[in-house]
Amino acid sequence: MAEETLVVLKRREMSEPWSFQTFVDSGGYQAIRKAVTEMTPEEVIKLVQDSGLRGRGGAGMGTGLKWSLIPKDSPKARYVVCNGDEGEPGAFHDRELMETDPHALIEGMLCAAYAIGARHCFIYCRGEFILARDRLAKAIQEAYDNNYLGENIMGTTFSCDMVLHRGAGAYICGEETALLESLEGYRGMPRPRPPFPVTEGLYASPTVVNNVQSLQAAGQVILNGAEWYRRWGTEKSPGTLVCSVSGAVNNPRNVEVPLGTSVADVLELCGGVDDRGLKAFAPGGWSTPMLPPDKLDATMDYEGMVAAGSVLGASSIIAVPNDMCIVRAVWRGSKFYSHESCGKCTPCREGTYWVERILEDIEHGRADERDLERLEAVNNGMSGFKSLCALAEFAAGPVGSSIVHFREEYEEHIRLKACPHQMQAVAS
Amino acid sequence: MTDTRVLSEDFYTRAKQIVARYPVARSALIMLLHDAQDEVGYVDDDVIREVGSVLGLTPADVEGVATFYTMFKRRHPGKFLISLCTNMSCTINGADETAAALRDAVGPEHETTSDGVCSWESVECLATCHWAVAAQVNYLDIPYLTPDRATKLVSDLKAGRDLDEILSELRAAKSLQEAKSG
Ligand SMILES: Cc1cc2nc3c(=O)[nH]c(=O)nc-3n(C[C@H](O)[C@H](O)[C@H](O)COP(=O)(O)O)c2cc1C
Ligand code: SF4
Ligand code: FES
Repeated sequence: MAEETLVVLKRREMSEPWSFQTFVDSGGYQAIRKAVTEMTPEEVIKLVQDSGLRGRGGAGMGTGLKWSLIPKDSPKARYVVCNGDEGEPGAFHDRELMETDPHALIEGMLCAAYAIGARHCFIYCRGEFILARDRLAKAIQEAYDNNYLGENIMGTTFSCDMVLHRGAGAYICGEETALLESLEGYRGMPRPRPPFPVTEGLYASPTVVNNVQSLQAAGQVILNGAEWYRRWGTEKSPGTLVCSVSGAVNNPRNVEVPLGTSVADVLELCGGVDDRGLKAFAPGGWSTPMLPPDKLDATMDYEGMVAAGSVLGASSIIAVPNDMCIVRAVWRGSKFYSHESCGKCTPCREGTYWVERILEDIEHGRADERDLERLEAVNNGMSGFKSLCALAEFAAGPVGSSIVHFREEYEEHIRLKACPHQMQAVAS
Repeated sequence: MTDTRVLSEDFYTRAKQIVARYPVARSALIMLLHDAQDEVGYVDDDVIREVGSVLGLTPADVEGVATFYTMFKRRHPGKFLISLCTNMSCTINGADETAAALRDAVGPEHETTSDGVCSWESVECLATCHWAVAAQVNYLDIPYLTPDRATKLVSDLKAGRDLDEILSELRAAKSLQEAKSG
């Protein structure tokens, strides 16, 4: 039986883990002290690179590698931006991490700022997260009061300011270039890349955008060392990972496990699938291709999920129960993407619109065989990274994977000219 | 001049402080819109014009930004806005039934009850999927909003019960099962 391994969630069970006192009493602000007083910025970057820590926001880029890409010779200011806009359906770990351990986020950002030579840091906190906002605001104030933010931190020559910024309801702002647009006061539309944020990010200046969990983990790595972090996980995906688990499970919650833990073990840590039984699961949030129950031994790491036919994404398992109509589920998901598409790219704007329409027709018994073909054609037109950002890919994943694994459910809707689940509900 | 303004003097004082935090003033725009909406309840043409005046932006520019973000409401959503998550984990656990209960108790989505107290909207994943069916009232989190609890929530709000009290009652439930059995 798998066990939880609490690294970024280590303060979870402590009393008032968000308070300054609890934080410093349990090793808080020792990582930044060590970095600033014992290490050069290059050594900090090297250490994070050696740990193998990879970004937890979805793309899985090495955190140390990203920091190393900040140009050394740029005369411009550099910035650290935390992506706290968590909006992936099924994901709720960044929210818990910000609410329970806000100081650990501040410390991780300070480490990043020291490593890349940034004077200003921004936390982009999703607008709907009121408790996270309040806890972060208080923590930032406490950090200023105790000289962990501001001028000459801990009496050294290192100075750093931090601003708490709020989103206002737009999933697309979780995409890093849309987030930067939003942070600059514009509509949250992704930017073409290159240039990448590391060279031209916030205010066209070198910028590191990192996920909440990546930053908190980086702090732990700096304090405890690369070898320590590599005790967990796999060669290519070292360390621990917080997985959000919800849907048809008995005890839905966040669990932290070593990367490489199987989906079955993660589900078991959440009391197992409930008595409805498992029809399918999305391993990385709804935006990742769904898998059938015979893939429960797939492992929660970057390589393992690709091998199983999906991606790790936001490491958020949604268990879809047997009594859920797949067409209905995918249709509901499709509304999300057509609503959240920013509309900049034709394949995404048109694709998400038509996918939703066709799925609605199939679910309501208004479709024939040709519509299923059209659905596949439109969906294929959306995927393949033809657009500015990955949202089009996210939208295509659930549709394509559900047709692969549950084609007969689509065909049954077409044959019956109705949703079999709805018919059953009416009959009983 | 001052008496025709919809935003208070305090707003303008706070606005100065907020703008000062950013290296580029325009970055403060969303924070100013939040602050203004917290004060008057919505972001209408007057609010847009006044927020724009703080940053030297045209109303059209500010409106373009405000309408991109779903949290900014162009008209008053009522004293209490109930946001119900109908995304996947909540749908799996009964969000459709809760939506029906809210439709009965409040009326159609986005419409405010005649007493101006309540409106409701269906929203995307609130990142509290472990609390499915998840919801918020004025962005304060509510766990396990079953149809019965939703109906009671609306009648409590309409009866003028204290919001903190209502919330702590709702938050006492520790699982969906417990919430269902009342
Ligand atoms: C549509 C879309 C939504 C995203 N949402 C988030 C999010 O909510 N949080 C996050 O950290 N990354 C999100 N990302 C990934 C970010 O673009 C970016 O890769 C990440 O913040 C980088 O941090 P990391 O290197 O620490 O993982 C999203 C990407 C896309 C395309
Ligand atoms: S892929 Fe979609 S969401 Fe992303 S930039 Fe293009 S239109 Fe906008
Ligand atoms: S799906 Fe409802 S809160 Fe995440």
